[in-house]
Amino acid sequence: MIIDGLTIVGSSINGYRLGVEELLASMNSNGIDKGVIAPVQPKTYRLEPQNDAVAVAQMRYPDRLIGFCRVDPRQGEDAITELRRCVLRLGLKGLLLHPMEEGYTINDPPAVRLVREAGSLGVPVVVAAGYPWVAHAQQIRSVAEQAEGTTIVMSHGGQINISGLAQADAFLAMQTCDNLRVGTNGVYRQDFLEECVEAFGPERVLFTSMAPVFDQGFELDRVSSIKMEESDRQYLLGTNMTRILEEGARSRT
Amino acid sequence: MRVVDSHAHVDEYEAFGWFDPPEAMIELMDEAGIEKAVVMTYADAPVLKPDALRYLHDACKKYPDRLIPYARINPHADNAALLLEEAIVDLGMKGLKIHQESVTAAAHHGSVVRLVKKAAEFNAPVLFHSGDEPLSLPQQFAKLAEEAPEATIILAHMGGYHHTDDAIRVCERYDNLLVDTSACPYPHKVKEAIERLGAHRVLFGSDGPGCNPKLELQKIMRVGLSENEQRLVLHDNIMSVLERVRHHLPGRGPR
Repeated sequence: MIIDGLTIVGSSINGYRLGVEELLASMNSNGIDKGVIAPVQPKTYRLEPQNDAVAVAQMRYPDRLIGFCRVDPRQGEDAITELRRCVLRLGLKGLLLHPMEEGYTINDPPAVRLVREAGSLGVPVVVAAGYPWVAHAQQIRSVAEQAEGTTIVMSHGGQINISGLAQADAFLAMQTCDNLRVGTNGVYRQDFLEECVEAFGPERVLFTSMAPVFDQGFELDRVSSIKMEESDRQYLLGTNMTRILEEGARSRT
Repeated sequence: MRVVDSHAHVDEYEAFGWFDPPEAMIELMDEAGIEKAVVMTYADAPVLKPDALRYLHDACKKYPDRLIPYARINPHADNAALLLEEAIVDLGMKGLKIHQESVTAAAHHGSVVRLVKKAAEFNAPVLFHSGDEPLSLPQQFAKLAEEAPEATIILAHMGGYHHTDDAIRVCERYDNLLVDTSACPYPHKVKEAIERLGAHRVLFGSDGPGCNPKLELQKIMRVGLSENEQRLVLHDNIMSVLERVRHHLPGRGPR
């Protein structure tokens, strides 16, 4: 079972686009069984209709797609209301926060409050991570410490730096907070992922492609290239996301 | 298919926590089917690692048919030009590597320009880091390209994660700028670089051993190049750059 832990569907104000049918075709050609889908930031700036569209896609393809909502913490109380609506009424299974595209800092109080609320609702949070100033690994560590009941997945291995200079901070964040996980998309140096698997166990590293920003097939190649026990690779490819979602579902019942 | 990796590393450097002796790279080259690799240290001579050039020379001597050394030198060092000359003339090195974040100087800094011009006297290529960091931004290469039009300048990583478009744009403007594909996470941007710059200006690089050379090669295969484009990117471009390097200056014999 291969689960892509992050894809972004719709037509983004930032110029990228991925339709649901196009995603399914890509998953089929790459042998990916299921994919987490979260919405883009649209040209209208309104995320609620995008969350609705993700819920519709999840209902249409329940065996293939796992819907996550996207909420902007700057909306304050309305953001909390939207998260609750998405989880409790639309049946979405997680939350995507994208501080870079929305324009906020991940450890500002409204964002922390949302992350804590997600934990209360029993859903994980994926953070588009590694962006300097707004979503650096140590900023996310600060959030994770304030929201111990929430599982947080840092995309990009928690670091976007093609010199490798942010790896120490991402590694330290993982060391500090058991509720943090790293996603594999775009990670500079595969040996960073190998070190994470070795230090924290295969349970804390997840396959995320973040398609269409990254190429889904190539990102799957990246996971295949990690030098690790073959028996452990399945954790990254699907077991970890399955467990995170099952634990959340249990806590909701 | 012959493959030469234009950007890889050999070094054991405690401060960065990266321990990659030559054997680590050779093993990955074998796994990926890579014939030769251009290698450099992680740390700069003489500031971070006083014996960096000797270390690299000795490492490459163990695998003379596989590893091709570039001297990684801090241009701020008083003896930077002399070190480069020794590296090329006495140690047979084939190029210069500058990592701007490591040496705290952008590509247009005076000391960088001077050392690049020195490398150009030998027709030796200069491989620069390029990415999203403040001293490594692709548009910073415009001034250097203007001041050293005779130099062959390679932008590693094609501008990193968020400056790939800038890397392509600046290379479109200056013919003496090339890109390498190492660690660039976007196969479609490699394709775009080849379409806009021409396959003769795009070099395959892995940034191994940290970045897996086999994965980096898979990225190129995903792009869907013609046989001719593939030959240029994977082999011919870097070989023709290296063949132009001379190990003594005109009017001066070997030392």
